[in-house]
Amino acid sequence: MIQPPLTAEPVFHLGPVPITQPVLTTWAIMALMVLFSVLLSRRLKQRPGRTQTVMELITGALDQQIGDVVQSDPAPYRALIGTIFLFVFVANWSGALPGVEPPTAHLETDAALALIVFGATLYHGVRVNGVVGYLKTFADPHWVMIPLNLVEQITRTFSLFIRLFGNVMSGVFIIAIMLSLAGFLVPIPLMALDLLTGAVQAYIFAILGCVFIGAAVSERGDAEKNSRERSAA
Amino acid sequence: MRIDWWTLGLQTINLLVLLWLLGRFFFRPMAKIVAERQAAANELLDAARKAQDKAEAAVQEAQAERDRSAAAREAVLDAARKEAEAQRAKLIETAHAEALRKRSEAETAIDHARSEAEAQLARQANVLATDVAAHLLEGPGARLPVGAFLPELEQALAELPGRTRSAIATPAAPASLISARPLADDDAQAARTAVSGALGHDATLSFDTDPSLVAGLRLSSGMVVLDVNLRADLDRVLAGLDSRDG
Repeated sequence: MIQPPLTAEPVFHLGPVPITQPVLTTWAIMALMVLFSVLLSRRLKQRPGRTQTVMELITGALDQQIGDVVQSDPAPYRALIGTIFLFVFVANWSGALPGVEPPTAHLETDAALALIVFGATLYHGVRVNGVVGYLKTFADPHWVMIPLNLVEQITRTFSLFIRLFGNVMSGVFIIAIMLSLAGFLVPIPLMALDLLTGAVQAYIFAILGCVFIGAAVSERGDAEKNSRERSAA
Repeated sequence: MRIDWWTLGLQTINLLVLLWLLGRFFFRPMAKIVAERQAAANELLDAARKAQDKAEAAVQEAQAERDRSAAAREAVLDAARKEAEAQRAKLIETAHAEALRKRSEAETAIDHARSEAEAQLARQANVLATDVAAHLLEGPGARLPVGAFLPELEQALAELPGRTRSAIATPAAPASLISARPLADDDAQAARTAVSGALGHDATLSFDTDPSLVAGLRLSSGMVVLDVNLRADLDRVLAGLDSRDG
């Protein structure tokens, strides 16, 4: 019996909870990342080694990107955006391992990521602008736009995870099809391309999440600016 | 396509847990170590800046000290120059005063020498004059009789104290009557008579000659010498001239 390719079948159950392959892979990735982080953080020095230098470069580049997008201190967003980028990156590249299917090739993982970005957007929007101030941003530039802005919040979140899901899932499918049709070594170029696509998609997902959060925390200023422009007009 | 809500929930929880764990064990330590390194770098930069400021201050202080030293050296040189100038002026003044004193002393010595020379010259002139007068009087004097000088001799003897008169021309103290030329017998007798009369006793006389007397007589007895002759007059004239010339 051929299983539906877009469906994750339970591997086992923990009581009523079905544990699927993406969850298991995610746990493995989490374990590796946390183990690496713990080992690295224990050996941090003022004079960094090679690994620490690379990690500091990544962190610095991440701070630079977040600062450029949010136009404020990147510290509150560093862990969120960094974790999303690193997880998506490692998850996408995990497909290069034999027998491992990237968790991001399943809709639930990408939706979970998008859900977290959506929640972070709400959280930081409210944190910076306050509840009323954040809600006022939906009436910008005019209250007529409220429905459209609300729909935008939903659609951009959907587009965020659908984009990631489509790219990764398609790569996995193409490799699987080529493997079944052509042979053992033929999909290797496509796998290299898939790695590139995975890295790019990780960057895109993280940057888009950063853009959404940045827009949420800066909309108050934009709204006030637009209000002043309307008053002047 | 359908969504497995259990998987969605588990993945959401997984990602939230991963978010917390990476924030706790990766991003926070990395940010901390970077911040610490940045702080250490800032401290080093601050220390370097302070050291640089300190060095610049030291350089400025050294420059100021050098300026002060130069000013002090200039002041010392100026003071030494003024001192040397003052000493030079003092030396010049002292030398000038010394020269003036020497000059004054020399002028005084010259004046003194000139005065002495003039006095000596005057003396010599006076002596010469008296000598000339003596030579001129030798002729007329020879023609003068002895009797012309006896009254004056008698007056001189009369003016002597009585005890002196009685003590001279005695056998104990014979007197010598000196004339310019040898006396004739009658002139000698006249002279003995006159002297004895003036002394009040018989005079013991011997007769002698001395051409330097020019003319006249000299009575010499012991400590008493009476000059009644032209030489004595010339000597008095010479003394008067000497006293007049100073």
